[in-house]
Amino acid sequence: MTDSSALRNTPTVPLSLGGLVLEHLDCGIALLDATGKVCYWNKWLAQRTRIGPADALGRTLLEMFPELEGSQLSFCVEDALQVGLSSVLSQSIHKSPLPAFRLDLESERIPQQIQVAPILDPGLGRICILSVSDVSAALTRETTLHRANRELADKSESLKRAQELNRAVIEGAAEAILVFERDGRICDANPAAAEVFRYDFRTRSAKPLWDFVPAIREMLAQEVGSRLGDMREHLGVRGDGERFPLEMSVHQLEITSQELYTAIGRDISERKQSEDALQRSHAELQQFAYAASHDLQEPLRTISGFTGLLRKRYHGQIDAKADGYIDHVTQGVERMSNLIEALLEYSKVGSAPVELETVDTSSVVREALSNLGAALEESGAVVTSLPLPAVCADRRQLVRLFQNLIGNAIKFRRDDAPRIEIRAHQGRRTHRFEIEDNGIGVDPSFAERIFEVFQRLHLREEYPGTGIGLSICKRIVERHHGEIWMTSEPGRGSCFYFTLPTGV
Amino acid sequence: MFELTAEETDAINEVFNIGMGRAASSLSRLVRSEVGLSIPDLDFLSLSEVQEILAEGSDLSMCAVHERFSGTFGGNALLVFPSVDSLELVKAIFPDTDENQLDSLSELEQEALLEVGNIILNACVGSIANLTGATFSTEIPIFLQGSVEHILTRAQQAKTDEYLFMRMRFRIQVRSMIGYVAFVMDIPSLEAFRDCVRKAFLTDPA
Repeated sequence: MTDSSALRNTPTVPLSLGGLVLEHLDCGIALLDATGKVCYWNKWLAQRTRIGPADALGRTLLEMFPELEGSQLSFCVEDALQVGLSSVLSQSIHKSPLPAFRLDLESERIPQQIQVAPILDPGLGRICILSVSDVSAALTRETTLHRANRELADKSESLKRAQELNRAVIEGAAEAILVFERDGRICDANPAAAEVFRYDFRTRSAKPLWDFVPAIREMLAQEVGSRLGDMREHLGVRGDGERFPLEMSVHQLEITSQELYTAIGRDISERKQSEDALQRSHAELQQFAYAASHDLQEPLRTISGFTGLLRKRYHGQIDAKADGYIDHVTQGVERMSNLIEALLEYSKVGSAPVELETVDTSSVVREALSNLGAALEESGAVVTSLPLPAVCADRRQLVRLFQNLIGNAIKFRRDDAPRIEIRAHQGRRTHRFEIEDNGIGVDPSFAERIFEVFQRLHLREEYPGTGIGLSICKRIVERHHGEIWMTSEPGRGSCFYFTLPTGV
Repeated sequence: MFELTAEETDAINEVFNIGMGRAASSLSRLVRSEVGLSIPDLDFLSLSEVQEILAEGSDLSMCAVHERFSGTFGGNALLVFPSVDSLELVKAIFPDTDENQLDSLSELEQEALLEVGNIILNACVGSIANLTGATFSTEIPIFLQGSVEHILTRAQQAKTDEYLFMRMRFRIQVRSMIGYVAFVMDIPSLEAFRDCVRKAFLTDPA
């Protein structure tokens, strides 16, 4: 190109093909002649700097944009024209050297990257080309990328913290925690696990979990998902072969990448030992109570026999005072005998084996009522019973239970004849029985105390009895794995409830 | 092997030192902070020697700014940074950069580094032109990233090319970086270069 007019984009001079291309590029192109004057100014620049080609041609950059005085762009143009050096001006350092504005947001300067390169033209000498690119897109990309990076860094930081926390919780847990695969391979174990099993899981060659808790293999094989999570007692085997009782629950971990399980448990040797000791002492105590009451019966019978004789032979023969003394002794002996009998029964209910069978409750109630015959008649009580279900229980104890509860309802009646209603409700696992009366009732604050041994709420003179009947009821129900409780409204009546398992 | 006399070496050193002075002041203006640039040593080396020095102590990837120049004599100018130093340099130029998130250069950061390299290489070429009267034209620089071998291959035209090799020390605020400047030229170009230096500095004015 020997004449810059070939590129000159004034309306009067037609553009060459090269000029047309430059005119339509999506970047700013300017040519500066050897003296730095604009000899070409494309449409991109004209639109964005708002200086048309006619105004740009023949002027230097500094004349058009005085703010460029002393700028890197000026130096670069100088270097290109005088020394022949090419330069780049990056957006990161210069932001927006030329006052070029966006077409859509007219007040916003375009972020630019500018290249300045010398061109040696045989005719014009050393001229210089300026190309200006809009790097908004790259900038947006970068900002998004940086933000994403930062978010990622934040997330991984909080993830790291959460992991550390989890780790600390697991490491510090008192429970043994083992993570294992479906085939029993142990992936991780905390220090408590190492202590419980006396085995260094982290450094020693791995044995499968089954070697430590054999039952878990079976559990997993049965794949009873709902049962896995339950805490259950198992036999544990320590690294040194010692066997011990342990309590453990197994959970499948809810992660998608791998089928992993955790076993969480603790050594219960100590608890087992104290439970055993407690059971032993309980049994001994029961044995003692039984033996004591049994052995007390013998001398009491002697006393009873001889006071009977004394009464028969000498009543009315000494004096009125002596008769009174003898009466007191006789009553005392009778009461003691009742108490001892009740105690014996109470301890028998606790110690005799429960003989479970399917029992028709209706027939049980009939038997209990017939046992209560005299008291029932005397009181004029009306007992109504809806059809009752069959349960799995010890028949004799069940008769006793109903007899005590119905007997109580008769005993603690008001002046009018007692009305007693017996009902049963079938539940999913248990039957609930209700025995409701219209008697004197109990202050609800005593609702629990009345089931305790020797607890009486009334004077013996008002309502006779040993104070042990409800304790026996409680014991019977508990030995059948049921529960017993009551509700009451003083002066209106009470309702006793108890549950029994539905089947064997 | 191309060799220079002690006087020629001194003269070339002087040319580059003046160039570095100019580059430092340009960079200081850009980063609004004092920039120190120095050339502790300058040597003529073969490709394998250059490779050895660049690969020394690390096989990490390198960043480079590559610029072709032509004129009185021609060749390729390279400014090479180990990646670690290039990151340091970017941090020095942009003090607000988040220290944690940088492990590679983003597009715009590469561009910034390209400009810094361009300024340094132009200062060298410009200094030769100013002081020796040689005339040059440089092409728009490009940014290269990759292994030492990849970068050198891009800048080399023939196996027999010689390297005028300089190690540079950058100091911006508290940060300090090492970079390398290499002028890759064939023997005729080197000879032309030497002639220019001789003419400008070593001819007896009488």
